[in-house]
Amino acid sequence: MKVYIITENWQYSDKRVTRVVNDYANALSNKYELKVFHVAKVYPLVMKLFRRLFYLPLSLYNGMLPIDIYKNSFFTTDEFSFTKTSRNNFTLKNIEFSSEDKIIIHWLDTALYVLSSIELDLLKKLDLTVVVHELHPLKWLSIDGNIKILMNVRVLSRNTKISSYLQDCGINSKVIRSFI
Amino acid sequence: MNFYTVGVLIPRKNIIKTIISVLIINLFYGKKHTLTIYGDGPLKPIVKSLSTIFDSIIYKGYISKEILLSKITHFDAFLLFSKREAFGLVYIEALKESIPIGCLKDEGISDLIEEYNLGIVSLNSSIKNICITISKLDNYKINKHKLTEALNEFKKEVVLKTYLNS
Repeated sequence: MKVYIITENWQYSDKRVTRVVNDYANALSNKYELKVFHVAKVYPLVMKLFRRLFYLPLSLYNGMLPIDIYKNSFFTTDEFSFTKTSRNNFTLKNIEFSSEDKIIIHWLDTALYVLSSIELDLLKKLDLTVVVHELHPLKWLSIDGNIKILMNVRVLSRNTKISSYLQDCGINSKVIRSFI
Repeated sequence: MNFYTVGVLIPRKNIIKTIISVLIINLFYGKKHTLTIYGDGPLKPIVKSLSTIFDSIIYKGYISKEILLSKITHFDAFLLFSKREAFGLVYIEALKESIPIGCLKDEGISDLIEEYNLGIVSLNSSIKNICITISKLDNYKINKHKLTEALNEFKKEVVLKTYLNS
């Protein structure tokens, strides 16, 4: 059985995140064949310029350094397969999955980006888990296709209040509390 | 009561609102609460100025995690009304020392805090609601049995089990 981890932030500038991802990856690699896809966001030149110009207000707003976040350093290991690619070039369609395989996608933006491009039939067949540390209902509901994703994947979140919110909208979701 | 807060001093952590709320409660309700603030960031000059004006606000600056853990044991409650709090490790550090928490609803680990009665959750980040939350934390005590149950959810094997759906 293979476990695929798809994440935007590997060797993140925030060391806490690096530690979390590395810890769990190491724990998994002892039991499963682990494949990690680090799908890094690539910004166009205008956006890079914008981020550099507005570095200070963005820092104030986010509380982190917006320019450095995506300067992920390369990561190599003998323990498991690791592939770094730009997010624009990554698609699940190119990967051959068996029915036993598990796919775990970290972070909401990455999950929405990766999953919105795949067909509903494939989505239903896959054993998919999306790990979101912050779950904003409005973000999920802002694009029509997100409802389809939300109804067909397991979502791990520290906060599960969204499921009752979605229930009120007639949407059955699979949001599970997890403190990863 | 002796409250403390830890974090990067930026607007979304609502440190200034927390300071104002403690000052309001002290001024209008005759309480003698103190708020000790650990952390550094763009709002440091404001926080530092407020600490020089009001005795109940104590600014300690940046502190390493190791030293922080040894310092928090004598506090009565931890306050952090931060928005978009993803990991909220500081909440867990407070819980490990059985310190009750004041935080924002639907942020960080507020689910857990409500379910196991580990503190008070503020409905929003208005000063009025933060004041209500702080008032409710007065003499608040955590049930040790419930705390143990809650902390079990953070165990690596429990997290991995959910992670792999096994």
